[in-house]
Formats: sequence, C-alpha cells, structure tokens
Amino acid sequence: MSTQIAVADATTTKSVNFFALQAAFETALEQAIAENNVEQLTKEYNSFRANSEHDKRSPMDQAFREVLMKRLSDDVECIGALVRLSVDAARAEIVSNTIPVVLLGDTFDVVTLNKCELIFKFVEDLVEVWKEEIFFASCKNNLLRMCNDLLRRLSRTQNTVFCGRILLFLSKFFPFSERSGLNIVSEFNLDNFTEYGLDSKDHDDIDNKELEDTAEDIPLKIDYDLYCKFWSLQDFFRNPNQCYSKAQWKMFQMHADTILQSFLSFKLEDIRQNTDSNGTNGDAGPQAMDVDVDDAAIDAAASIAVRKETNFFAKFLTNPKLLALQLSDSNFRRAVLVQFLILFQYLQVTVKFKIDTYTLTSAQSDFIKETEQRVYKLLEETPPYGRRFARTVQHMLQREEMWNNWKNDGCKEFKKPEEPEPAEEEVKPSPPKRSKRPLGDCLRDAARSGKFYLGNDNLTRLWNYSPDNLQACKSEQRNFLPLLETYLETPHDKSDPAFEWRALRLLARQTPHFFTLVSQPSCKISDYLDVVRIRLTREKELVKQISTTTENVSENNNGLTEPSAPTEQEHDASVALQETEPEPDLEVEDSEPVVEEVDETPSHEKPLMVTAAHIEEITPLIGEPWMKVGKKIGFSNDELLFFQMENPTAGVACMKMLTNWISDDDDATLENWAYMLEGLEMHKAADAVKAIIEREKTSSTQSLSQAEIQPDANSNDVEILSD
Amino acid sequence: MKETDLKRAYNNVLAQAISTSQKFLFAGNLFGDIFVLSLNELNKATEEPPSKLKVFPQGSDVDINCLAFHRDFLIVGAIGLIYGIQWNEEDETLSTKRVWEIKIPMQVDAVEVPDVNSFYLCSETETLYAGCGDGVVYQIDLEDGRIQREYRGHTDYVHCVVGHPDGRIYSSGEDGTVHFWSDKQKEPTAILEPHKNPQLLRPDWGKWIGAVSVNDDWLVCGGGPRPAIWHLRSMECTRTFEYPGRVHVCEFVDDSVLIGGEHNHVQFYTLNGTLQANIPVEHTASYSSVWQTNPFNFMSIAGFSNKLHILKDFRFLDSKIDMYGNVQDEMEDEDQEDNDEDEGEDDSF
Repeated sequence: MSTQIAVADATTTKSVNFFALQAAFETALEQAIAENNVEQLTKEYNSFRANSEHDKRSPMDQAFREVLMKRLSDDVECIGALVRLSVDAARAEIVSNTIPVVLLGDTFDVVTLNKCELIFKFVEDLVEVWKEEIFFASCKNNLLRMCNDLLRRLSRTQNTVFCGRILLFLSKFFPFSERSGLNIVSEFNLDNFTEYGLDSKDHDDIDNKELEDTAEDIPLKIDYDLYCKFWSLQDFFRNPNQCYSKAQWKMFQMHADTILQSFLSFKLEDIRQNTDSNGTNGDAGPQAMDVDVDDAAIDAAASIAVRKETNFFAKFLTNPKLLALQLSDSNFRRAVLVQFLILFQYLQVTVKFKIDTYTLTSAQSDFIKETEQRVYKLLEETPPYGRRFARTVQHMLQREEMWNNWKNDGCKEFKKPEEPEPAEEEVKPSPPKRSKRPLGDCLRDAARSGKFYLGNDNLTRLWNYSPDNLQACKSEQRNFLPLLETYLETPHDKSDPAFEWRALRLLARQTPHFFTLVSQPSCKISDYLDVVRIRLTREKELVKQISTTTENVSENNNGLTEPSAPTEQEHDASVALQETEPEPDLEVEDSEPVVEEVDETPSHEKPLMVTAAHIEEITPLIGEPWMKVGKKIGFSNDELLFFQMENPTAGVACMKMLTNWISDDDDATLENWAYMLEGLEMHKAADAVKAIIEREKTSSTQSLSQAEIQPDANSNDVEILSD
Repeated sequence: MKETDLKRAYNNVLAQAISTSQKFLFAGNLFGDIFVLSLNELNKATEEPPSKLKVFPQGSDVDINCLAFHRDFLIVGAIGLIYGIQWNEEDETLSTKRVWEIKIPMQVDAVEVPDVNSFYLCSETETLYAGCGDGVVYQIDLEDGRIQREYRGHTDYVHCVVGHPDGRIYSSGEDGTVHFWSDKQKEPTAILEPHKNPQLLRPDWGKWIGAVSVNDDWLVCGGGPRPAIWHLRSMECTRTFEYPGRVHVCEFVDDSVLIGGEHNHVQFYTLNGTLQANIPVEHTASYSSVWQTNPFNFMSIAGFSNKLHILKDFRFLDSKIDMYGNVQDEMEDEDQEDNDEDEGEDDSF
C-alpha cells in the first residue's frame, strides 16, 4: 500500500524508476484483466506524466510478461484474454507492437504440446490482426520463429494435424508472394526415406551390383520380388533427380513397368454404395461425366466417400505382409499412381533450378509420355469414381504447372486483375407486391368450385389435375410396374444393387420362381437373376410348344380335352355358325320392335358394335335413301358414287357401304347408328336397330351367366368384326 | 557351356511338387533335371537375391512327366516307370539312388512304353493314382508298391488325374472325356464329354481335356474345348471361362479358378466367370502349378521356359526365378557333373 501511495504521490512530481513502474502496471493489469478492458491500463499509463514514453513502455511490456508468467498455470482462456488485451494495449500504444506475439512465444516455450495445440487457436483467430499494418512488420519474424520452433518440436508423423494447422496459418498470414515460405530452389526433402526390409548399407551394395549388371548389358538374372521392386520406387519419388542417371533410370523403368503391370493384372472391383450415380457414371461413359446433374450427384456421393475415409498415414507402412493388402487397396494404389504422375511432371517441366545436364533423352520422354497415359488409365480404372479422380488429379497437376511457371518467372507478386466496372445494371426495385387476397377467401372459392388451393401455383395445378385424385391413381396409366421379363431384358449395369433389388421384388410378386432353389456356383444376385431370366424364357417357349402340341393333339382327338377357345371354334364351326349368326335374325322377326328410349350405356359396359348380321338385317329397312345414311356417316360423294356404280342394287350397295364403315370406324356402334337413323327420320330402321340393342344386351347378360357353357359366343363375334 | 545355353532355351518343366515340410519346391523338366528351391528364402522379403537353386540330374533319358511328394520321398513319374528317391531335409539333398521303382505293365497290344502323365496322391490312404499313356489309371499302394487296381475306360491316353479323399477319382484324357470313378465301383460312375457342348467346342484345337480339378461340388476342366465349370451332381455346365488358349492347367485356388496353358498369361477367374487377375508369364505354355496357403501363401507356375513364376498372394506376379544359370555350383562344374551323372545313369541301365 505504501509504495502505491508513494507512487501516486510521485506521479505528479517526478519520474519513477523501472521497478516501481512495473509494479504499478502489474496491479493495473490485473484489474484490467478482471474487467477485460484496456481503459484502466491506459489511464494508469498516462498517469505517470513525468516519465517519457520510452521509459514507460518497457516496464509495461515487462508487466505483461510477468503477469503471463504468473497466470500460465491458469486456464487456457486466460492466456487468450491476456493476449487479446495486449493487442488492445499495443493499439493504444502503451506497449511495444511485438508484445502479443512475444507473450504467445513465451507461452509456447513452456507449455506442453497438448496445451500448445489449444493455445494455437488464439494465434489462428487473430490472423487478421497480425496482418494489420502496425503488427505485420514488427511481428512477422517473431511469428515465423514461433511457428518454426513449434514445428521443430512436433513429430511430422504423429502430430500431422497440428503441423498442418501451423502451416495453414503461415500460408494465411504471409502474402502469396512471400518468398520465405517458398521452396525457391526446388529442393527435395531428401530425408524422407522409405525404409523397407533391408539395411541401408545393403542398399548401396545392391545398387552397385545393379550398375554392374546393366553395364555388362546382360539380362538381369536376379529378378527381385515384387516387394523390393515396389518399395525401391519410393526412392525415386523421394529424389527424382536420380532418374537422370542412366543406370538408375533403367532400374526405375524396369520396376515401374512391373508395378504397373501388376496393377493392370489385378483390377479392383467397384464396391460403391451409391448406386444411382453408379449407373449413370458407369454406363454412360465420359460424356455423362460432364453433365452437371450427374456431377452434382457424384459430388455428393464422392464427398461422402472421402469423408468416410479418415485414416491417414504420413509414412508408408512397409511390412512385407501388408503388401498384398496394400496393392488391393484403392487408396494406396491411387497414392502410388499419383506419385508416378508427380514424378513425371517434374521430369518433364522446365524448372529454373534444374541443372542443365538434367535433360531427358528422347527415349526417356517417350517412355514417360507412354507411361503417363498408362497411369491415367489405371487411375480411371481404380474405383470408386476413378474417372473423376483422374480428372481431378490432372487438373491439380495443371495448377501445379502454373505455380511452377510462376516460380520460374521469379515469383511475381500477385495482383488482382482489374475488375471490370460492374455493369450499370439498374437494380430494379422489385415490383410492388400486389395486395394479396386473404387466404381464407381463396380457400373458400376453391372449395366452392370443388378444387384445391394449396398456396403454390404448381402444387395447386397438380392437385387439380383430375377431379378425383384417388380415382386417378387407380387408372391403368398409373401402373408403372413393369413385367418381370421386360424388366430383366432392359440393359443395366451388371451389378447394380438397385436393379437387383427391384428385380427381386418383381420376381417375388410375379413368378413362383422366387421360391425355388437354384443351384449355382456363386451367390451373386446378378447371376441368380440371369438364371431366372433364362428359365423364364425357356418356360415361355415350353408353354408355346405345349399349347401348339395340345392343339394338334386335340384336333386329332376331336377336341375332347382342350379348353382353349380357338379349337372349339374350329371343331364346332358349323354348329357355332348356326348358333351365333342366324340367331339374331330369327329373334328380330319374332320380337316386336321396342320403342323405348334406350338408356345411355353405363360407361363400364362395352359399346355394342355393329356387325355384318345387323347390317344384313337393317339394310332392307333403309332402302333407297341409303346415300343419306352414307353422308351422315361421313362418306364423301365420290365414295358413295363408287358404291353405287359398283353394285347393281341399292340394297347391295348399302350393305357394302355399311360393311366398309364398320371395318373402318371405331364409332360404328349400334347406339350411334340408331341415333343417326333417327336423325334422318328413318324411324323404321332406327327402331329396328334399337331392338337389336335390346336383344344384344339381354343376350350378353345371358351369355355372362352362361359363361361356362358358351364363353365366347358373343364377344368373339364383336371382337373379330371390330378389328 | 553350349549345352546349358540350349537347355536354358528349351527348358520344359512339366512337373512340380512341394515337400511335406512345405519348405522346398521341386521342379522337374524333360532334360531329366530336378531343381530344388528353398521356399524360406523367398519369404524373407529382403532385397538380397534369393539363394540359388540346387539341381539333381536324373539322367538325360528320364523325362520327368510328373512329380509327387510323400513323407520324405520324391516320387517321379517318367516313361513306363514310377520311382521314389529319398529327400534328405537336413542336407537338402536328393539321394542319387532310387529307393523303389514300379514298372507300368505293358499292354499286350502296346507299341510303345506308356508314359506316366499325371499323379494324384492320396496321402490319407497312402495311395498313388497314376494316369498313363495307355489310357489306364493305375491305383498303386505306396506301402508295398503293388498295383491295386486299374481303371480302364479311356480310349486314348490320360492327361490328368485328380481325386478326392473320399474315394472319388476324376481322370481326363485325349479322347475328350472326363471319367468319374469311385474306388468302390468297377465302371465309371459318370462320363463327361465337354466337346459335345457346342458352347465349349473349339474345333481347331480338338476335343482333348488337358486338365481337370475338383472341389466338393464343382469340377473345372478344359483343354481343346473351352475351360468350364461343371456341377458334380447335375453334370451341368454352369460357367465357361474366356481363356483364349489351350488349357494345360486348371485349378481351384481358394475361391477362384486358375487357368493356364498355351497363352502368355495365366488367369484367375471367380467362380462366376469374371476375370479377376490376368498375370503375364514368360512361358510359351504353362504346364504345372503348385501352391500352398500354409505357412504362407505361395504359388509357383512353370512351363516351357527357363523361369519359375512365383506368386505370393495369388493375385500379383511376385518374381521370376531362373533355373539354368541360377544353380548353386559353378557353371563348369555343373556341366561336368551333368555329364558324369549321365554316364553313370547310362551304365546302370
């Protein structure tokens, strides 16, 4: 207390020494933290008027650092608060600009990595602050040093995420053209050895041996196994410049060939979950890939697939036991194939810092070009979404080439292209909204007219599509269920699970084959469906054969056994003719013409068509004025004349004309005819027709009740003639 | 030197066998040489070149048509005879003496000595089935070397014999048939004639069936006709394989079917007939394949070339191992030895 009073006294009069200032600032800082406000601190700072700015600033800096040291054990949040406060203080120009970063750097130096990871969040959050002019120049180096210190402490293989965060932060923090972040001379990370089942000293020996062998130019006797070949390639990926040495290149060429051959010899199966995009992607070839709609679907599916893949290894695992699994893993395959592409790109492009002797011979570049194509092809064949993946990689490599060119040009600073003046598009004020009718009114009106109002034009239209929606659903046209046979014949992707599922559903619904057992080497559904399809077609043929044979047989046996209609007709042809056709004639003559109004036929009933027998019956009643009837029916004068010329009597001509009519016109029903005749005031004929209608109706109901005995007597007639 | 060069160019390996200890691979060729390869060397996964092969010449007049391994004997099928030689696991040497010998009886009307084309060894019953050039499958008791039974039915020579421990035997032959035998019945239980199936027939290549293989329910066979998979009970052909060449090797390997022959690839198919792996080989024709899954996956494919093709997971070609030119002793010595051996053998006959 006493010091404070003393200080308070002193402030007005004379300058205070460093420690006193620091102590005073510390207490003020504690308060400021509590209030989370820099005001208090500024006030305190300004109260020492006697001291120069320079004198006051360093004790303030020191105060911050001291407080930090005391509070280190506290919550992470507290440290964040302190840093933020220091930023404010720096803005208020009471501490030096570097203090926020110094504080962070101090913290990182003393806390554990786990905590570092939490605290680094503040660094990331404040990236915009660091980029401000007052901080950037002074903090740049401190921040870089801090990050590098951190990176040095981290394991690249185990703290991959944190490392990535730091690198991301650096790339956000520094401008694009910042050269310190660049690998300007295009060096390779030569430390990144991929070790596999051998000691490094053996390695040299082998290399030498290899050299000898190639030097002597005899075919290599020792064919290393796949494992060694495979992992030896990693060394070339580590240091691509090896490829410019002749012997090494030969080895690379040989091994690369073997590996690609292996990849080619064992293709991976596509086990994709999302089948809808699968179908479009797999079948339609490259063109379909460019369709936006498909792309969107594939995008979604692919991103899901990617998200599922959470495993990441910074280094390859080289246990020999894993090799077979690795080679069958599509992600691993892709990684290796992309490595090839990257290597080839490096070898092909001009890089400023490549040594002049590093040039490809024409044979080499030929090999590279050819192999590059092979690699792309393999990438495309590697599921899932191979084609898409290959395209993406290609795109990224193109981008990489641009960066390379940029580096070759000396890393020019990026400028945003001059933005074209935004076209003077008058932003039209949206048209004043029409005053809406109240919703209740709309609904009421709609209900009154027996319609639906759903508030959305399209929905409303849809719901009012037909008067009775439920009835509409029942209509024939709404039956989208295909026949099993036709469905199985439709072209489809070989193993499309959706197709298989649908086919099985149809199978269960439409045939008993679903419940029979098929003995088969595989349990794949596609194969099962294939078998079923073959069975169905075979069965169909069988049925056809049986029906024809039974027909033949029945002919021989006088049709005793067969139920089928055609044979019956054939056999009892004479009887049937007598029974069906002359019958109406007799009846007409017997019955009185009925002059009742004929009720409109119920819609479900089949309209009664005019038959030849009817014509024969009615023609005499029409008599001379048959041309009138013809006109009414719709024949042209020429045609009528033709009928007249061709036929000797009116009766015959009329008959011909009417026969012509019923064979052409679907509307040739008895009803229509009666109506027509009535219209022409040929009452006699009209009445006769109506009589026929009555008769037909009663006979049809009779025949319905006698269906077992005479199944087709009536309908046959009608159908044959109406054809 | 010249002789080895010739041998290198015309090396034709028809037979291979793996020792009971599963540590050594034997490969015999038509020059009468048996190569021995240590499998443990292969599994080390180092970049050291695998140690060289050992060669045990049997005499240039011995065509090694087939090999089998039983207990500590290597059984060699040559022309007109079958003999056993002892394998010493410790020294890794084959004894130079034949421990036992079985002569294939000459038929009365036979013109030439029948060669032993194929072995099926049933180690449970210690029985060896040998398919021979006279169209007969001989059932030989390994206990006393007696011929227990002759399976007669083929009208031409037998290409391949396989079987099942429960007593089913299947033999395929030049006459285009696959005979199904049971050790309890005299007559064949069934006869399959793939060439009668128009889908399988390849008229240019004849009707012979070069290889057959069975598992519990299925049989795969092929040769001149297309390779195909058959259901054992219904005798129905359920899948054909699109292998483009004549077939000398077909085998059920795990869940897939290996097919090899006169084509520059051997192929693995799934049971549904889809091509799984298409492995390039240097053989003009592949004649033999042996494989094991214990203690590690290993397969060797041999044929008309100087190289054994090694597959370690049945999907990728792992390495190729030279035979002539990759033998432990030095070249000159080996030649010398070769000649010596040849002479020795000649004397004994």
